[in-house]
Amino acid sequence: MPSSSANAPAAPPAVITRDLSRRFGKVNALSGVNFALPAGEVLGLLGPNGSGKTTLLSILAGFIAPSAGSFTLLDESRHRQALARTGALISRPLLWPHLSGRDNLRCLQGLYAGHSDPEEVERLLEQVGLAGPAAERPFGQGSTGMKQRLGIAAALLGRPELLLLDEPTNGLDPEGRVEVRELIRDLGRAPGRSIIMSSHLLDEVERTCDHYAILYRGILAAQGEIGATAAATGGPATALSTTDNARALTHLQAKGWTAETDAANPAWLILSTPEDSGWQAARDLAEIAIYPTAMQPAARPAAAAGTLEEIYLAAVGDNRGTAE
Amino acid sequence: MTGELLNRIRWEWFRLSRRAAFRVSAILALLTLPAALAAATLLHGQGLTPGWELNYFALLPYISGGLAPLLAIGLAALLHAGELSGGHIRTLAARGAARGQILAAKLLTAALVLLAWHLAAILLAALFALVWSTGFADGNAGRDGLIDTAAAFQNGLLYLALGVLLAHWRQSTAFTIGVGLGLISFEALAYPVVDFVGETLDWPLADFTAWTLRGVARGLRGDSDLIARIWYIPITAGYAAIFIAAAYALFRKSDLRAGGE
Repeated sequence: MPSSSANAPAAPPAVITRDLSRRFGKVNALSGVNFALPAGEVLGLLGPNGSGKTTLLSILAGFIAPSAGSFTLLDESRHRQALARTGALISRPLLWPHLSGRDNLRCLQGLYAGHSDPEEVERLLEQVGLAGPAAERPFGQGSTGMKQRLGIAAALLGRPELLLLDEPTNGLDPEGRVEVRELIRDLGRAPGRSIIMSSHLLDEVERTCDHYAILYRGILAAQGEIGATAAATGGPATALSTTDNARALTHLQAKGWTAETDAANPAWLILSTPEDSGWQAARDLAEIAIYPTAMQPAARPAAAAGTLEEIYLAAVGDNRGTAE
Repeated sequence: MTGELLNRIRWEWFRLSRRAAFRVSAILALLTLPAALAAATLLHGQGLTPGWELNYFALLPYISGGLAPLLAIGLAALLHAGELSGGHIRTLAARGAARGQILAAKLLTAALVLLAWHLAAILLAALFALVWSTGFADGNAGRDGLIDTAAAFQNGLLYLALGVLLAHWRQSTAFTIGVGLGLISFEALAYPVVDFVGETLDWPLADFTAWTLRGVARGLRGDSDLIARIWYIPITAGYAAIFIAAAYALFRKSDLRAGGE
């Protein structure tokens, strides 16, 4: 999918994470995650259960604090100010069960914006397919699908510039999934709006997102642009694209990495590594404020690494050993 | 800042006022007042309270002072523990609301509900005094009643602060109500025993409980002279401040869970 802001002047990334980590007791839920999401793009966060998707989104939404590392949203130095421009639906919608859908949105609108705008509430209810009597039903009595739709509507209040959506099609029937997918695609087309959406479903990410990032056991195993041709090398390697490839190359070489610019596609750096350890390179790059915008295993020929499914399987498979 | 806080209080009230549990509790709490005053009137009218002058303003703080801690614990459970255990505080924090402001808005909403309830109690006592008594019992009855009710209100705030701490400690409605009401019940049962044993043994046992929660509450609401009671105001406020500061420290450090409902 082509980037919607390909020819626009370079805007600061919507999200930058620097060595972001989170431990729960002895478990590393997230380990040294470094990535940058260009403004106006839609990122699909993939990974099996327990890979750290919800933890990453919960940290970005301010629900939990990272154990180490830092992050910036919407180029704001203060996280709270960035959150005022961010909508989030993490884990599952948590609205007040005794209030109707409409009253929940009214209440949140009043809290977020400090004023009432019934038109926005009605527009959002219609957008998520809950106009009419369904909006009057107490939230606690609604179906899973209704709750999910209302959660999305709540996240959209106030036209946020950044949306964090954790498995937004969860609990929806096939028809509902298609509707929500189309809604997210439409939302992603709004100028300047960036979205991070987690999902278990590869085809959902492929159909909805501009970029993908694959988490496996808390490690960012691969990331890149949907549909982009993977860099290819003959041996075990990681293809890496960053916010400043020239400086990144010098720094990585100084750090002892075997790195070179891909002759076929200068947008990629190729790291020759005995195993996929691009996340370690990303950690080194974070030291000089350079962040990966795409990263994927490049052990296979380009033709074979073309589908997201193959990249996913390669990334998860290649990291089984390193993530232990 | 103040405008934002007032806005938060408004929407806290919007949600609270629509909760069935709150409505039922509020109706019961409001009905208890006239029921107790009417019962006192009836008993007095039938001569069942010999040597006892019917003074609604003197009677009122016993009723509202006894009920206020229960109401305060209930409000803490509904506004704090319920939203923490259900995970709804995540929804409030999602757009960058400071946790201190979320806590302050909930605390002030509960305090305003308590205040409104005490004001309703005073109005009711005045109504009873005008309708069933020969006006106000004596010249100072109204003033004394106001002072006693203000003390009962502060006592309610003390237990509200305790309830908020319990709510943030375990993030559980059952824990907040269970421990809060358990403590109040224990105090209600244990302190008279302490007093009785102290008097029987002629040993000032009650002095040892003077700085406990109920001891402070008793000092604030007790029938010692006004100057002595004033000393209890900063002590009560100090207790409440410690409870709220501890609750805030817990809230600030806690992960906002997705809730278990």
